[in-house]
Amino acid sequence: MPNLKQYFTSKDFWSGVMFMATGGVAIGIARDYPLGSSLGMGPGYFPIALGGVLICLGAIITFRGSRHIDRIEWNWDMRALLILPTVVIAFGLLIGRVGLVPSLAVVIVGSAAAFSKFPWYEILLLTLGLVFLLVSIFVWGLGLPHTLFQFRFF
Amino acid sequence: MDVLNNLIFGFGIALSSSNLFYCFVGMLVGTACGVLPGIGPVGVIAMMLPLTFNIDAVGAIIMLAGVYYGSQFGSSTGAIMLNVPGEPSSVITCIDGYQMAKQGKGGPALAIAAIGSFVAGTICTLFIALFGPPLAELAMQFGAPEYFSLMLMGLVAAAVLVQGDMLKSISMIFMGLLFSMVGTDLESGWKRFTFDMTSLYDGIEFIVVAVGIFAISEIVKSIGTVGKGGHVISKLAYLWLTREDLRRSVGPILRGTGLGAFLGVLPGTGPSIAAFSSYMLEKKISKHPEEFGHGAIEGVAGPESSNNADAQCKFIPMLTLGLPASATMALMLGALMIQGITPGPQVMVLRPDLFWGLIASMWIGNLMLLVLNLPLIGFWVRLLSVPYRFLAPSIMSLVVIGIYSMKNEPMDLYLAVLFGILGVLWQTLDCNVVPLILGFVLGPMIEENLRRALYLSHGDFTVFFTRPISLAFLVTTVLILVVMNLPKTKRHREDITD
Repeated sequence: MPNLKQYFTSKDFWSGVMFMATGGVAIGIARDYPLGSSLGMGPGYFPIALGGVLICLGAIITFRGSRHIDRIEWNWDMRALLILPTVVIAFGLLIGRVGLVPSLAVVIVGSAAAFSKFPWYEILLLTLGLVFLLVSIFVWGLGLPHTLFQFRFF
Repeated sequence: MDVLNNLIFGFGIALSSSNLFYCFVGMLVGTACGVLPGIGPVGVIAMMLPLTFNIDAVGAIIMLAGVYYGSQFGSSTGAIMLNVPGEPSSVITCIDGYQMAKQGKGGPALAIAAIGSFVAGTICTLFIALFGPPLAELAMQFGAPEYFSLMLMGLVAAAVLVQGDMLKSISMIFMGLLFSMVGTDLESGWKRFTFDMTSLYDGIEFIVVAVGIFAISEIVKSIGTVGKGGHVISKLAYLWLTREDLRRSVGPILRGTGLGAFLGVLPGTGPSIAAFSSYMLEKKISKHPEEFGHGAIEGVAGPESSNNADAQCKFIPMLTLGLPASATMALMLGALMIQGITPGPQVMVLRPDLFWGLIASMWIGNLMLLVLNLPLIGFWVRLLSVPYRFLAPSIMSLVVIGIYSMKNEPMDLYLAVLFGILGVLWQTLDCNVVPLILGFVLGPMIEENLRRALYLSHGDFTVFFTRPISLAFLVTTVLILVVMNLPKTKRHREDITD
């Protein structure tokens, strides 16, 4: 009998749960889609079949009882994990409101904040250089229609 | 000679000034990214994709292919000079390559890696030119049931051969298939999994998934790992090989090429397995196995030829069958689809310029790596001393501008974040993302072919077993599953993946 605490922190257990949950959610959402039949597959036919298979596979993974329990090890840099996604979301929120240049600056300074030792003058130089380079390539070079600066909050 | 004429036609296209330029740019960017740890070829190609929208299809695919083999080359540079492989495919090269560099033979090691890759590239170019057309001709006869079975075989083989737990990999295929269902169903016009958001009506862009998983989560990972602890840069004294070096390398290069070409056609194997197999083979048949691990040139020549051969031959199933055999090829397929080209055997007939131009450009690219990149090695090595704190913000800003430039749609950025976080989760749980990517790309085609096959057979599932080619694919699928689950192969596989 394997140790229960080990089991509930194992990769197998949580992978299986994740697969089952994904399959379950998919079926839950797709349950109202017309199923059709094998002759004429409706929009719900394939997704529900996929969801069903995923639930079965997830169940096998969760309950297969591997002899060797592989426990989850969490060694991600939490600071980077919080900052980088936030920065991308910030860019998405800002780009339509303040334009490309300030939004890019936010991304660069923000990503730089994921590093603990980063002198401010280096960040400043990097930001200026990168923004100039990217604007030259994408806007002036490739001619993408991005507004460089604007002020539209509503 | 048909093949010869076609190759000449291809060289005519690849040698046009704009295509040469794209090849060169791709190769340079690829080498730079290959040298630098913390961003792999898949992430770079995904980031470069939006840049190729304004280029014609041939130029776009030539540039992306350049990134691909450039990164292979760059990766071995880091492995030999610093014992830091840029990509997993060069881990094996570290063993003897770095030892050679420590003995002052870094130059010859780099040279033999470049020469081996070039020879492998040349042979594989011919290989593709010879076997591509017949394979595509065969595939032209496929109907919907054959395609469905073929894709099923490709996906299962990829899931089984890829590193990591087999069941989890198979589950990841189904995850990918499910994610590909988001958007408007082409047949019925039904909006699936869109949560009434118009920005999801067209489905999730493939680039968004790839950038999220291979760029954003890669950077998060690298911030925690890259650049901790310094490393000694070995001095580069000379590049020349002795006659003895060359004599010892001929066999390993040719054997590595053969091994890599064979493994390359299989889905899911990947260049690391090709490199590893070649190293084991050379060590086994060598007259001086004791030299391996202490700077044997065979240990560099074989694996480096093998991983390049594998990388090149991955193009065969992609170009002739429309079947991606690795995450990179899935991206190439995505690039073709963005350009409005339906992947499959008809590409060779409808767009011969694309097919033969790409093949010829691969050879030119390999030549460029040899004559242009080798002298630049000093520069590449210096690139390694750029601290990661400068690279991460640069890559992040490229990521956001690239994704946003696709459709000017902020939702794509949020989705990329979602997949970045999912990528972190999947890595933590040891779920390989490659099968997910392949499932995601093939999802719509699988559903379409399943639907069409069942419609033609009046809803009868036996159609997949009664048509000989389809049956052959299904039997192969089962065989792969059985063979890979035999206790002996299972143990062997675990040895390799460790």
